[in-house]
Amino acid sequence: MLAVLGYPVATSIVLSFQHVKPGSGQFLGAWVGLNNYLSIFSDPVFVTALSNTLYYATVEVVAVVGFGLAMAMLLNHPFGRFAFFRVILLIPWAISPVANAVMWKWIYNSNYGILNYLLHQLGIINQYVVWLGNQQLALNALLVADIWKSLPFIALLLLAGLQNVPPILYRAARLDGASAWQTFRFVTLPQMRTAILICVVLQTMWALKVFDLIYVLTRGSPADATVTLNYLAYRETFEFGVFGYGAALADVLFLMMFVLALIYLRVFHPMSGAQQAGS
Amino acid sequence: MAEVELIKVTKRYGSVVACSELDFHINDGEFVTLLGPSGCGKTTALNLIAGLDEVTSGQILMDGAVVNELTPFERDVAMVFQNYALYPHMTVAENIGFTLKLRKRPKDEVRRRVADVAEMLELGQLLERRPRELSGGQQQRVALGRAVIREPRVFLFDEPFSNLDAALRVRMRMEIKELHQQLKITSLFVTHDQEEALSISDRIAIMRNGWIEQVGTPQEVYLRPVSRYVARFIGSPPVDILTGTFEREAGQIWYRVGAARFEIPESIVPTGDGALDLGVRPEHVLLGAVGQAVTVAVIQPVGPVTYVTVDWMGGRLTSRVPGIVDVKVGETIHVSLAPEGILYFDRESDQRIATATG
Amino acid sequence: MSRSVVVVGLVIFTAWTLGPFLWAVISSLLPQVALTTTPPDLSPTNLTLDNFKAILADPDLVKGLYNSTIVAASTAVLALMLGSTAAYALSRLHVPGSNRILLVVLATQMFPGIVIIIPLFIVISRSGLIDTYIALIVVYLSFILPIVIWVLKGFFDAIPLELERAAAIDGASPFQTFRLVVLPISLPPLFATGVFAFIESWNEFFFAVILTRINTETAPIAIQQFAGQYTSRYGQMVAAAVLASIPVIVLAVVFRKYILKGFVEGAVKG
Repeated sequence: MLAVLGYPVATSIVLSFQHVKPGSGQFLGAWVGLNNYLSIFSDPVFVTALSNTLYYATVEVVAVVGFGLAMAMLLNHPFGRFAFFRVILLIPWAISPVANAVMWKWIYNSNYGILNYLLHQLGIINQYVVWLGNQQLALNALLVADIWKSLPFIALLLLAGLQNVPPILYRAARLDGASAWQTFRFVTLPQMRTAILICVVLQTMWALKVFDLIYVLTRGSPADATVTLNYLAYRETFEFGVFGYGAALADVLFLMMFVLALIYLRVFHPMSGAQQAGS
Repeated sequence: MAEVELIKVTKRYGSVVACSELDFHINDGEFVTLLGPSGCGKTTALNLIAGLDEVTSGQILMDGAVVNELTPFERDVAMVFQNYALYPHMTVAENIGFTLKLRKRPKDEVRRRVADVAEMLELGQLLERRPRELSGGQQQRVALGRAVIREPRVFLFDEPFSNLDAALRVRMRMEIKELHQQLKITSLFVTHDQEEALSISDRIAIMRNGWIEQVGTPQEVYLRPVSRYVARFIGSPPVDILTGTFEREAGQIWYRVGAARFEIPESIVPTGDGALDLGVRPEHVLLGAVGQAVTVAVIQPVGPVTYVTVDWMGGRLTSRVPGIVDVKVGETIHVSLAPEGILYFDRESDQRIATATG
Repeated sequence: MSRSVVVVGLVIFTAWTLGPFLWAVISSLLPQVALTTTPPDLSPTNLTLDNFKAILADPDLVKGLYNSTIVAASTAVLALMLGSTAAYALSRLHVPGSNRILLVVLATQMFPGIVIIIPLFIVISRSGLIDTYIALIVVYLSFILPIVIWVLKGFFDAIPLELERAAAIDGASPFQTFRLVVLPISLPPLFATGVFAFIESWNEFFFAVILTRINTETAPIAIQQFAGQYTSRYGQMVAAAVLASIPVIVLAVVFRKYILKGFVEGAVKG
């Protein structure tokens, strides 16, 4: 397993320092040093991709963790204890990202899609919207589809965290005269700090990795409005064949995720630094 | 049937010494208990004898042959665990017969032997049940059955009754005793409960911090403990230890403890010097009209006897009085010590110092 | 929370979670005509299986389903076999650093596929393994095994040692102990991780699209191509998505107890 992951990472880093052209059947080309990385910074598409990625990740994390917490609280309530609610959560989790994309493709269809129909009937829009073709809206359309699919797992994680809060604390809060909101703010949230942080980190990593959705629905259009770092790396590598540059982009993305993983470790294993020092 | 012998058996975990040079012999058919508080090394010793753990140095012999290298199965030992350790996914019958199944015995032989064991332990009705459907006592009997069916050379018991409630514990002790009388298999029993050890053992080995402090029959360790540690561990309520000094006055020897002093007959004055503590069991503390004046502090009636604790400036003693007593807390009463029950312990070394009489 | 808030919340929750998929299912059962009128013609008399019949006649889609079954099933089985033995070894043999497993798991979650795909592609194509089942299965195992091992090790750690001691005294070899005592009581986490491995393999797209060609195309690829080719055959397009989702949904629902317990708790407790 180390071989499957370690060797490729190393090669990828090496590649990023090179300028490679395909077609020659070779994969090691001329060494260009840090040129690839430098051209990243002067590439306007990169800026777009970066801002798209940051926007996408931020919105998705806030929405998924926020709504996930709300869902978890609903499911924790006596009314929400039925197995039915937990079972339907499994559906978004189980279907493949591709199937999810196709499903939303149909929902977002500009002529016959159900979303346009409902919004029009409710008087919210006058004309049918081309969701996936609209520069302002396309990325958000993808976000909704992704949020729909990601909510269940996070909600379930948060539910587990919620159920780990010792009930006796709620009793103590009630005796102290706390209102529902105060209880939530001073008892529930602090107790769930770890669970919430885990969800934030996990969801951020997944948001950064989004690919299937873009590939099936927009391919990055319109006008690169739905290009993320990950997709850009893919496009440069496999559609434009500029391997070195693609590898450099991929490594930048990897670095971002690595930093995130370190944060996760710090949060979750605050002792691990000391342990490693001692062992 | 087997003799078990430990020769300088030591077990170390890193720098921690769990068992230190244990030297010990169990006779064929004997029921021996390893007794001691948690952490004294008794369970480690048991695991070494079972073969579940390797000795760091020393030898374990069974019937004269060194068994250090043999697996538990090869040593032909059977073990009953504190938490029963029944296989949760198997029925009672399957649990008991598992060892035979591993040895690939024919099915009808397995069925017959399981049935025999079940009958002996009154488990006949429960053969098809799963462990989680049984009570604690029933589970323990299944664990016993699993051990008995092995017809081993040695039975090993690791605090098997600690998880049972008091009444059940007393019953199981009797059952074990009867089982032992019936099967006469060499048995090694580990417990921290001194009453349990006293009631079922042929001999007791008291352990302390990894070594064996004393080995003897229940009577020996009760009446002639080798150290203050053993004296305090055996017997309930525990021995009272008084820290005082000897005095000689008017041709009489006294032991002074704070504001009180107790008469010591010349014949049982200990030999040698060195500061000595005095120990005495409740049944040898005599209350009445004769002796040192003290105040009644606590009265505890426990059915056939009453424990009366008296105190004075500098010390206290507990006395066991048959029946109900007619004193009240705060009253003054007189106490003396029965000469045959006085024990001396060297204050430094903890060892019991013998008197002329023993 | 007041009761009416909760009720409203639950209604919204149900509509949101179930809605999109329900619409997909309904759409897949309606003919093209019904779907392209405004408003969409939802009368029950229109319900038909024509869409499904049509897509099942498409050899590529069927092949995709078939390939996915093989790959996902193999991955799940191998993940369980390799994962359980590895987890057991790690749990019992006190390998140093075995509690760093969490770190390894995290590491595998961290890689966007793009980072490792090129060198991987080179190695695989040089070994002539492009468009083979083996390539996919090995690659999938490299992400899935760490999680399987992590979950199973956690479970094995919690099994009381005395149970295995009793088995040793009864005469069982370590392997017999594993097979006859440890595994039978580990069925819940085994099912949970097996289903998880299956679902993850079934749904995977990125590596499949790059490492397969004509022979081993998996279901997600087939669906994507279908949706790309026949962009106006709405009913069929959605039917393909629904059809490919049925196996995984069924698995998830059947084994929901194990999944919900095993995974989610394991993740929070770390």
